Amino acid sequence: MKYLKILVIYVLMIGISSCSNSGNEQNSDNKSIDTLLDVSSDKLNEAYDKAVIIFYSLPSPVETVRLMKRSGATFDESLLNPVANVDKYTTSKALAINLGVFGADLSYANVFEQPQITINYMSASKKMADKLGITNVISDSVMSKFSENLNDRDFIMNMISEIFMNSSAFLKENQRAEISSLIVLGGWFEGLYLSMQLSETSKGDNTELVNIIIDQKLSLEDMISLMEIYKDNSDIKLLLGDLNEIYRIYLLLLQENGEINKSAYKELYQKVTSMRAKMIDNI
Amino acid sequence: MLRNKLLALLTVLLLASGVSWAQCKEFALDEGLKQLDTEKYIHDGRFNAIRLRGGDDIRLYKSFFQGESYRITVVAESTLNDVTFEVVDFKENNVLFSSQKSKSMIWDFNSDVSQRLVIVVHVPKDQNPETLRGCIAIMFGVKKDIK
Repeated sequence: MKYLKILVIYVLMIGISSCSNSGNEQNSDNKSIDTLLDVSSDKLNEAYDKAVIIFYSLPSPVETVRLMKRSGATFDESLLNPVANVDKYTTSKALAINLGVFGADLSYANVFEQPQITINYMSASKKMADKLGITNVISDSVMSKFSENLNDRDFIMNMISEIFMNSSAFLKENQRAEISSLIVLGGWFEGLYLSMQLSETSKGDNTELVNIIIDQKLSLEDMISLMEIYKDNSDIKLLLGDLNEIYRIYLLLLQENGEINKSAYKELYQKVTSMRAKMIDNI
Repeated sequence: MLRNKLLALLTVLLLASGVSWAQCKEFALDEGLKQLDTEKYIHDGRFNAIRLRGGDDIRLYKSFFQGESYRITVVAESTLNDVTFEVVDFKENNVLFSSQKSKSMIWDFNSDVSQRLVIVVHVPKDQNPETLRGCIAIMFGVKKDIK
């Protein structure tokens, strides 16, 4: 009987990891793939009966801004993507990325107890979601509930999380997983950008902020793998090029003695700043 | 010929995944958030839910950060019997938590280091896997403790 290896994987978005650039992790993933299925050609139905579903879940902006708060970072409104930019986003790509960016900005404002800025970014997010056709997720009743509880930081944080979970589910239901992946990218990248900017402008000890930035290498690997799935899309292919460039710099960041490579750190700062500018300037 | 069959199979699976997600949103929002306990934990906002049948497995990869307290919980519809999950250290492959051993579908832990973990969910094969399907949601929360 002729035997063939059949790999059946659903790759379910909203986070995705397992980086092809990481040696150990690649081995581990290959191991899991190798053990999936080894079946004969006349057993396709049997193969279908046994699926290994792989999820990769990226940290949300909620998680990143909590880490920033704990590190002693401060709030700086000038770092946010201005809400006035909302009207210049028209393509699905720009809307999705910047919905993620706004999600991170509103999480940052909420955790740092800036209620008016939080509601402004929530309103902007609603506009973006509506333009993307994500209907009824940020409804008028959700906005009212949001406004009424604006001073309850944890309640608002749970609302933000629920909204983003709902948006992701909506997009997947409608076979728009690529759009969902761009929202994830925008949110994660804004967290990295804010951490880097705050680290640069910090007047005190910024060690914890730098550690947050270093730890984002794990998430970057996840992000690259997520984008790899949709690399046939030309927009995503371009973004993937930028992410791979950032990953290359990350590999130089920590020296063998555990010290930070200052020149790599400076290069990372410049690359993250320029990529974020491209994202919010709709380039 | 076989290649075409495989492509067709993969297409069906990918198309079916949209349906699977669609049917699990309410379950994740209701049962998932309830078990996560949003009074004590802030949900991470990610949608990790799908409709499965007996015999299927899930592997979910996620990074956890130093100094945070997390809750991981897996909820399954009652049509799926005896669903279990394990949390495995990505680097060393050590099992850090087993729902079967702990007799709990909730794991609360403090992350001493930043690390990647793998959540492995097992859905036991049933005698009639074609008819028994149900939603599974994997939920993550961070403890509300920062001032």
